[in-house]
Amino acid sequence: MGVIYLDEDGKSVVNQDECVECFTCYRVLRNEGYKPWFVKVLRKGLSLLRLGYLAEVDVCPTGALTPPELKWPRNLRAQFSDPSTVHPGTGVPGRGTDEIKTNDVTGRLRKGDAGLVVEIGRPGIGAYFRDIEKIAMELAKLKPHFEKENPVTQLMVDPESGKMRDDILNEKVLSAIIEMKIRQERVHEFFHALEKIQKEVDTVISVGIASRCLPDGTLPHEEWVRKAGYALSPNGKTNIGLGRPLFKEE
Amino acid sequence: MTNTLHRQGTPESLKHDYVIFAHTAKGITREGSASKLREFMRICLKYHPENIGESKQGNILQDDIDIHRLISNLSDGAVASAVFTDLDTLQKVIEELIRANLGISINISGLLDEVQTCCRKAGLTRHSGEHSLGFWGARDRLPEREILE
Repeated sequence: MGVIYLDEDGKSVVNQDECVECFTCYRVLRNEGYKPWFVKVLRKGLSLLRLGYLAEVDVCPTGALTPPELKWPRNLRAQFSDPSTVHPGTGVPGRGTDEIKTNDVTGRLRKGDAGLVVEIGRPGIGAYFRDIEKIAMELAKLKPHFEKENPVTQLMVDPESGKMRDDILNEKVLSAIIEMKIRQERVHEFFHALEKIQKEVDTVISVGIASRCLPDGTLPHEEWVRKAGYALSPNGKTNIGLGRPLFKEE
Repeated sequence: MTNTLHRQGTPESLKHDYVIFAHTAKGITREGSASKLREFMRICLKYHPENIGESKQGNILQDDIDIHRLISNLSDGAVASAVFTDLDTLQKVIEELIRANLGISINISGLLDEVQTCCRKAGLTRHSGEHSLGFWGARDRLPEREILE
């Protein structure tokens, strides 16, 4: 994120607007445990001799960073950025959702469904909810089914339009996943919408597509993606179907 | 990429990277899943994975942990995973998981065609699958391909 930088005085500063509260700095920074006065005196002495101390990047000599107590809506940043923070909407740590990982027992994706995951801000750039809203509103025009158990859907004031809560639009997160499904034969409409909206946001978007396999084990969405003129990755995720009881479609 | 769906590379460079993980569904398979997750990890451990761990406690490659203690500390709904580098071993793991009949959802991230072949050899028809459609949006903000891979 490039959130921690040195100011003109050589002191480390946290850019609070850009910080996504991923808590990585608290988790990985080594605290050398020196007293602040000692470090200040040492640095002053070195500067008199025109010397500087270049510490390793993952070292904080005094343990100066302390985790803040986050309140709404800033606590959303941690919920979507810190993999150890349990999201209240899903009950699991991180911003992820089950997607196809439990499709064998949930039946979230059924015959003819194309599951679409649009992860905004990944990899490594981050995203403001105002950009997430733009994409959600464009995709909402397709009249998809937004997954109810998904943390982004839960922040929509109107899933019909994709409109998000106004009080969260200036919050930035490491990434957020819009998760929805449409019928497979409409996949080309999804690509059309994404082609249009991708030019209007200043972040990256990682996109995935999933479906339930046909009885012979083939993935029906492959044909629709190729017909639309797009390429599929050689790798991906496979639910091998060992969950029980197996979800049965009527 | 920590999201293995979007790992970058050619089929050649990706062919020694198979992540197998267990996942539970709230209200269906999550409650009371700890013992099943422990058994999943014991089965994976038996086949000498390249890496093995759990999302909260860490993994054997990055953290100084006792894997047996990690397994005994697993709780309901833990996300347990292991990494294998060859399909023969992966097939043996799948076959043992079928015999164990744990009832929790098992997923594999890796080359889709290879995983499908592996499932077939083990006597399974895969249930669902997911592809990456790549990166969209402000791609000029991404680092170069070598770093992404």
